[in-house]
Amino acid sequence: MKSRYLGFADRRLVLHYPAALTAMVQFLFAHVPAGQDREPDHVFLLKRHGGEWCLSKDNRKIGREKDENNMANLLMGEVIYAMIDGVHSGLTLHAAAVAWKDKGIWLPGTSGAGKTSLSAWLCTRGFSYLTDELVHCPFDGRRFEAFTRPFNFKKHGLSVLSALLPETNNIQDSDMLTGETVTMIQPGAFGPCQPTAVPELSLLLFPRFEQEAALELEPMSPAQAGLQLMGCHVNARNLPGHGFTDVVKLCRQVPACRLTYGSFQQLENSLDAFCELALDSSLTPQQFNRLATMVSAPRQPPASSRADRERKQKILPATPRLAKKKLTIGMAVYDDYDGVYFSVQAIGLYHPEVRDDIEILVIDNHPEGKDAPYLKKLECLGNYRYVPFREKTGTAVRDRIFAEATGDFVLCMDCHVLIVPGALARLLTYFDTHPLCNDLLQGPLLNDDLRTMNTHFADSWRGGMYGVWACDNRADDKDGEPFDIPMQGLGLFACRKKAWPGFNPDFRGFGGEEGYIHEKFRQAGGRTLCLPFLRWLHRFERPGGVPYTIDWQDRIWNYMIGFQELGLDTGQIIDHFNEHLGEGVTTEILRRLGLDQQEE
Amino acid sequence: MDQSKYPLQNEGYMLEELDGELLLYHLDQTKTVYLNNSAAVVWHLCNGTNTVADIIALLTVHFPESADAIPADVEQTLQSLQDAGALSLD
Repeated sequence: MKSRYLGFADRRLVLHYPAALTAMVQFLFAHVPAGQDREPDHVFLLKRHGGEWCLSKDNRKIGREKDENNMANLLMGEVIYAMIDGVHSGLTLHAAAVAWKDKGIWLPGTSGAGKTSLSAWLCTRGFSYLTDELVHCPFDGRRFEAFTRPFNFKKHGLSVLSALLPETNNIQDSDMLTGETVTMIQPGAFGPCQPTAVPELSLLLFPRFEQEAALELEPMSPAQAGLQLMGCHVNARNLPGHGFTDVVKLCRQVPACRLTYGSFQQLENSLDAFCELALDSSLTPQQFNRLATMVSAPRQPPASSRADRERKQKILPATPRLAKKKLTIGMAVYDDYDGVYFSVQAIGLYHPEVRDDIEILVIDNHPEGKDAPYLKKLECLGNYRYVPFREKTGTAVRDRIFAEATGDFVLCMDCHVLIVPGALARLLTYFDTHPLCNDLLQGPLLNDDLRTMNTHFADSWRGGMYGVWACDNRADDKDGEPFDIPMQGLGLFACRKKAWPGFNPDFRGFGGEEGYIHEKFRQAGGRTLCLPFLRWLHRFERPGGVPYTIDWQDRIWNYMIGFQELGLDTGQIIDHFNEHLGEGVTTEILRRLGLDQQEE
Repeated sequence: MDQSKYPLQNEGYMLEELDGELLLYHLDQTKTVYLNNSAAVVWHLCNGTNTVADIIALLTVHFPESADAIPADVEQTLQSLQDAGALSLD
């Protein structure tokens, strides 16, 4: 007979087994420390009897199996139970764990939460495997040890293997053990393994796999995390106060997130990047929460019917160009039919005096979506033109408005904007008196109370954005003279079509356009003006969420290349995002965008 | 819910406050109860001297902008806590 001593936390076990099972024992416990510093708490004995493998613990029979692999599974379960039973030197929890350099992530959860597959996926991304089952954290500290065993894939979860490892057939037989209910795989098959590491707990990630779910990474409060951890706390009865105070203490110190995902594809370059950044950077709680929200996918529209899916593939033709009008009122739309409907109908109802002088132009940026036929039906208005455009998404689609406009003058607005009665007529009059105007014309944005307003953006940074709402009292008199402003939100603006300088063609997604386009007008010799009469209202609240992606990386990219194009100081961008997102996060984003070298 | 009843915290719960939220833990029942900020306020008022109606009135005075929602929220919170065994209604 041979013997293998096993140690974890303050528990010590010894397993006596026949030489014929040497390979199996080595497979199961290769990464578990020996633990021979004192007498074992329990003694396991494996032997062959009557054509079966028999397992006993402390001279009491506890199980028998005919199949060696099934015995391996039984043995592992009993050893883990014995490791938990009586441990009193700290918190022991049911959790997977991986490490990134010297920092550790726990993935707590009960059986079936997806700990094994998610920890295996993280290993394929370079994180070091520690355990998919059990962690132990001594009192008054965050450094923890892990019970490192082979990955334990339950039978119903084996389908994830092909997603995790496309070349599953390349796993050596010696690295895999298949039983009736589980398949165990050595961690080396997925990535690095650091069984002797004692990392510092730095992130709690509670996984929840749900088929076809959208990716969501939701920051949790310390109390929410504490509730979940208490559910995974397996040695509570061995501890004073069941370790409740110690669990809470841990949750005060370690940030936590709840992860919902529907496939590994969703996690590519999002969850792994998030974990690296969260662990590498010293983030404040606010910065951590902002970083987590970057990962979540935008809300998906409801599942479509077959008819909708079929319609999705057919792009409706653009309305033929209409007779030239003095002013084109253009708007881009992405899945916001309601916004377009009310904005367009409000123009018709409350600005009838300008009807003959305007065309309404709608650029549908999601022409394969369900809104398309309804947007096109608005052609019934007569002065309305529908144009599908999917070559590019994001704020720069506004350039398309100018390309398609027939008017000499263009008013560009968001598709959920309302304009006060009389303002369009006055704008037309303004253009009549300023036919060669090279200026960017905007107006005061009314707040939802319809009394207070914001006339411009002050040129300072806040909340990840260049520009802070401000009000100049010169706009109180709507008949007052136009005045210069540094910039303003681009929910509504107007200019002569030929004066439009266009956005940088390399802009991506949304963000970074205010300030940039204003400076571009000024560098071309124009002014950026507030016309007090041109008052407008913008719907900001979206209870259903926005259907398109808002990406911090796109925003930072746009600011950086926009400022570089205009010869403006990019240091202010970096300084602001260092503060807003954290220096580590910002540096990493710049590196990923290939912009870090330019700053050296 | 009978608003003349007096909600009273049951004994035996350990309590930890984290950023305005509460975690309660009962050693014998090995049960953890989570209370968000709003529920935590209600919990603190369950001292056996305030009726359900008193709690609703107190919260309405301090949070008038939520006056319409407070009665239903309070009753739902009290019911949840009662179901969890954390308080009694006498």
